This record gives sequence, structure tokens and C-alpha cells, in this order.
Amino acid sequence: MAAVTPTPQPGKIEVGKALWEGRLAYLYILPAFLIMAFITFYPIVYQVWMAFTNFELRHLRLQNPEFVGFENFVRVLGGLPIPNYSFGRILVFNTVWTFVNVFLHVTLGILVAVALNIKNLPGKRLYRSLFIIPWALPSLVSGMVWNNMWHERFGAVNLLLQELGLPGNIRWLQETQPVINIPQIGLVLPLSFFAVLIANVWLGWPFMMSIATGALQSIPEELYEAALVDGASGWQKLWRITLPMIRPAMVPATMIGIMMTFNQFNVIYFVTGGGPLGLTQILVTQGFNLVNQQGWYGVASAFNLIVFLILAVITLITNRISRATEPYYA
Amino acid sequence: MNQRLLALISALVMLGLVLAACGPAAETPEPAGQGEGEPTEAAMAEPVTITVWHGYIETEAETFAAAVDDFMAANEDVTVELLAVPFDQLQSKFQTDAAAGGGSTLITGPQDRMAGYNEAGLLAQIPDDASFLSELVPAAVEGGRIGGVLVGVPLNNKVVAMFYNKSLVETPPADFDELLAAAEELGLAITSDWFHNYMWVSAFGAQLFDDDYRCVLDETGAAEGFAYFKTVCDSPGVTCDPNDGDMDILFRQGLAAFRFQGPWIAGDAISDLGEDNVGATVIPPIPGADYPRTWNQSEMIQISANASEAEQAAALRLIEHLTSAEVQQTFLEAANWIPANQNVDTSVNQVVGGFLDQVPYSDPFPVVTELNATWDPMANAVTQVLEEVLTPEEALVEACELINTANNK
Repeated sequence: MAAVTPTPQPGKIEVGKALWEGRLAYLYILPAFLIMAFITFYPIVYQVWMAFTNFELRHLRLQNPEFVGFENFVRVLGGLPIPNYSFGRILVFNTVWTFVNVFLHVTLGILVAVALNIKNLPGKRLYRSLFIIPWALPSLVSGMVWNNMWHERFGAVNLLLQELGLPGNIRWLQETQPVINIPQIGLVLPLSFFAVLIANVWLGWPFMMSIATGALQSIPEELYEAALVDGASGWQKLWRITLPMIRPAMVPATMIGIMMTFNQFNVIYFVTGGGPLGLTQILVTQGFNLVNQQGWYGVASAFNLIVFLILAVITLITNRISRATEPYYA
Repeated sequence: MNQRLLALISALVMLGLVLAACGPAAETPEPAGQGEGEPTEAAMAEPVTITVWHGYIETEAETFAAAVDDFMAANEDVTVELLAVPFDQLQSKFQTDAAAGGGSTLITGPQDRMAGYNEAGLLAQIPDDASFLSELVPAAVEGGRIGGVLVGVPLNNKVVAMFYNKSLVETPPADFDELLAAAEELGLAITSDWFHNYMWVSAFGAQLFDDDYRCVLDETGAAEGFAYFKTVCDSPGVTCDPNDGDMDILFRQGLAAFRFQGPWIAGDAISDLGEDNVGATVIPPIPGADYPRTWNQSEMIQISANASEAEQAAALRLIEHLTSAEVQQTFLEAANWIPANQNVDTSVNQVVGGFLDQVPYSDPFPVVTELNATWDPMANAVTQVLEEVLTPEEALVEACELINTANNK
């Protein structure tokens, strides 16, 4: 009886062959991977481990932390013994903060880009250069400047209002009475929200303007000529031609804006500090305070893992939206 | 052939990385740690660089830097690098860095911060037989002990009192009603945080902690004190704001004739208003209550547990210099520090004399870790009361609940 030789499975042959054929490529990326492993992957794994322990300041040197299971996650979601803490309220505020900002960024950016796209507009290049400045400045610097500008006594905003004969003693960053209060959804917006909103819109709209400007250049002029022949109004051209044509560029930019604004630490931290009474705290600033002020490394790790999961969900949704975006021609 | 050459180079690079990672670790000097006594003479003779992190600004920073420069001129084997860190960030920065094996050699700060540092094992023991200790105020030296172990040396004593502008106020008010009447026209600036407003608690007979360091503000009548504080802030001419620097500015620019503050702004106030126009005195008593009792604390300088034997030796020499009568006299004259050295004549300084008058009407900082949990909740309570978000009773109940939960009481 002849011996039966087992036939290698086709899938394994292909993977092995692919690995062998790509050995040089893997060799090239291995150093970068090793570095990434030390500076990125290992800290992430360590943070995940910390989230399941009672890691605090004393555990950095003196003791090993104890495993506490999901206790940190329960505490983060249920309530921590720090003033003004409510995960739900902070999440609602963070979400409103994000989408209000991005809406204003995109709207303002597109409007200015369209205005600057007018043919033969004098000083077009100068305006485009000047309007980039807010985006070019470090957000830390901008945040501190805006904090000073909103100062009740010595801030430029109140001083200007006084010069104009208007009430100039507005407590922009200290007033605790909310301007908008919807307790049913946990939404509380004090005056400081609008102050930091203005600061962040000032920072963020140039990015959208830049994206829109580039996208506008790719719109064929013939479309507008054809629309003109058909008697389209300016509004119709904007709504039927300009916006659909720049959509493939603006949607990914909007997604990036959502990610950046959701985690906009510098503006919140340096303009309002999360106050008054924690009413302008967002998730990343709260997570920072858990470490910086409390020294609760384990709790902060759990907190940030939850934030990561939230962002992952948002990323998946936005990726799906981005893929659904089709070019106007298709 | 080119691909093979590139592959060979890549392999050599990786091999180099692996060998570097697997090689013997560089030898680092072992920290002397606690309880190892005076450093050896050999350690003291080596050139050494030490770092000092502090939270001083303006006059205090300049005076401190000058004192350090004098030390280096007299001790050429020691280089001292100073780093000014924002006061509110100094504690967390040191805790985090030192816990990870880094941080500065020395750190200054209020004595209440020592409890947290010590709990995390960040402080080296100061030898009990250090010669300069005998020149310092014994009670202040004892304030540097935790669990009987000396981990901090006092640089000065600080207590909040009442500054007044002598060009606007001839005689300080005798009680709080007189103060508020004067403030209506002349102005009173108060920092609305917990540190500056502990005094209302004590004026109405309340206390912060019980014997087990459990917050009892909500049980011992502190609400009455906070209610009075609210009426003070609502009085005409009184400005209450959480921004400490802004309130200092009001006094320094002559916009407020009275200011509740510690001696650290005395130098700057004198620079702005003139030496003859800056006075300090006891915060007047509240009619129907008692004298407001402010916090009393020593500013300590501590040595990091990460310091090597040579660094510790150099650090002790610097501490000896900073606490010497000569240098303490300089701090008294320039920065109006209440000296920790008992051989310094304070009678010539009227401002410091005013703060010394306040000392009997002050309570020492409890140097316990439980105090750390009070700062945020109580600052929040102050805001809630002043902004009328909660009544004083409600704010204190909420604050004590947070404090006791955080302290596992």
C-alpha cells in the first residue's frame, strides 16, 4: 500500500509565501515597530493594566497596586468623590461642545472661502495669509490670551464694551447662572461656554477655510457658466454646485475637526480651566485632573479607556459616513 | 545585489539596537535614602550640581536667587540650578517626577505638602544632629517632622494677616464692623479660596477635622462663618475673587486699602506703594464672634529621596546657608519673611511685626494627608456660597461628604 502524503492546505501556503516574499519589507519596518512598541503599545497595555488596579501615587515607588477588577470603571461612571463630577453631564457637554464648534468652523470656513474665491478680489492672497494666523498660533498661547481677554476687570473684551458705552463688567468666566439649562438631558451651558466657544471658533475656522479654498479650485468653471445660462441665482449656485462639489473634501475635514474638537484640551484648560464649578469640563480635561490633582492613576486609566471607547464609536460612525461620500460625478 | 546590501544594513542596525538594549545598565548613583546620617567627607568634596524647585515670584524669587548666588560664590564646588514652577503646579510636578526617580534635589513649599510627599516615599531624612537646627525656632523645626522623622527644614513662617495702606488708613479698624465701614470707601480685597477663608470657620467656633481627621465643618457651626463671609463679600467696597494675583494687584495699585494676605507680597507691595505706606496688623475681631484665625504654616525646604549622597551633602550645606541668621536677615529685609532663625532681630520691621501679632490668632496646618482632600471641595464650597448656588449649610455638607469619602472616613 503506497504511503499517503498529506497535501498542504492552500491558505497556509499563501500566507507563508506572502511572509517570505515580504521579508525585506518587514525587515524595514521592524525598527520602527520596535520603537512604537516601546513608546506607544507598551504604555497603552500598561494603562489598560492600571485601569484594573488601585494605582495611586504611593504605588509609583513604595507598593505594588492591588487588582480591583472593574471597580474603577464603576466609580468613573457612577460618581467620584470630587466636586462637580458627573460623567454623564460631562459627556453631554463634550458632545454639544464638539458639534456646535464644528458646525461653526465649517460654516464660517466655507463662507469665507467662497467670499475669497471671488474673481479679481483685491488683497485675496493677503486675506488668506492673515486668516491663517489663528490656526498657526499654538493653542496654548491662544488659550491664555483669550483667558486674559475675558477677564472681568482687566480683559480687553470688557474694556472694549465699556468704551462702546455698553455694560463692561460681565463675568464671562465666573458667572455660574447658566444661560442654557436643560436638566432633562443634563445640559448646562454657562456664559463661560460661549466665551470659550468664541475662542475655539476663532482658532478653528481657518483650517476649514483652507480645505474649502483648495476644494473650490477644483470646481470646473463651466458648471457656473452653465448655471448662469440657466438663470440660477447666487444662492442656487452655492447650494446646487459649490457645496456638493466641495463635499468630498469637507466631509473628511469635518471628521478630523470632530476628533480634534472632542479632545481640545488646551482651549478648555487655559481659557476656563473647566470652570466655573466644572461646568465647562470636557472628558480629556477631567481625565487630566484625575491624575494631576488627585493622583488617581488607576481611576484615570479607566476613565480614559472609557473615553477611548466613546471615540472609537465616533470614529467608526464617521468612517462609515466618509465612505458613503461619493464624488459629485458618480 | 542592492536589496541584499540594504537587508544587511538593516540587520546590522537591528542588531545594534538589540545589543544596546541588552547591554549592562549604566551605573546610577544610589540615593542615600532615609536614616543614613550625615554624608561622608568624600561626598562633600566632589563637585556636584543640585537643583531647587520653588514657587517664588517677583521679590521673593529675586531674593532667593541672590541668596543662592552668594552660596555658590562661597562654595565653588557646588552648582545650584533654580527652577521656578507655578505654585499651584509645584506639588504635582514634584510628586510625579520624583516618584518616577527624577525631580529636583530640593523643593520648597508649605509644610502641609510634606505629608503627601512623605507618604509616597519622596523625602530624604534630615539628620537630627545637623548643626544649623539649633539656631532655628524649635517649634518650627518640630513642624518638619512626620512620624518623628525630620523630613523638612523651615525657611520661614507664614500667616495671613491684614495689610493696610498707611497713606489711606491712619489707624487700622478695631473690629470688623469698622473695617467694613472703612472698606466702603477705601476698598477691601479678599481671595475667595479655601486657604484665605479658613478663618471664618474658626471665628465662629467651628473646626475642620475631629481627632480622626474626619471633616466636621458641617457639624460644628461653620455654616454661620460662611454666611458671614458671604455678607462681607456682598458689602460695598469689598472685592472677593478667586484670582489671588488680581486681589494683590488691587492692593498694590492702591485700589483697595485693605488686603488679607500672607507676608509674601510685602516686598512687592512696598515696591509699589513705598515702604512707609505698607502696614500689617491683626485681622480685626468679628462683633458677636471671635478673631478670625488664619492658617499658620512654615515654608519648608526638603531633600528628595532620589538625591545621591553627594547631592544630599551639598543640599544640607545650602539649607544651612539659607537658614543662617545673615541670610534670614536679608530675607526679612527684602521679602519680609518671618524668619525661622531665632537669632534674627525682627523688631525693626513693622510689617513682619504685624504678622507676628497675628500668630496668636492662627491655627497650624495639620500636616496630614487628609488635608490634601479638602482643597478642591472647600474651594468649590466657597464658590457655591458666594454665587448663591447652595446655602452655606448645603455647600458644607456636600464638601464634607466629598472630603470624607476621598479620605475613606
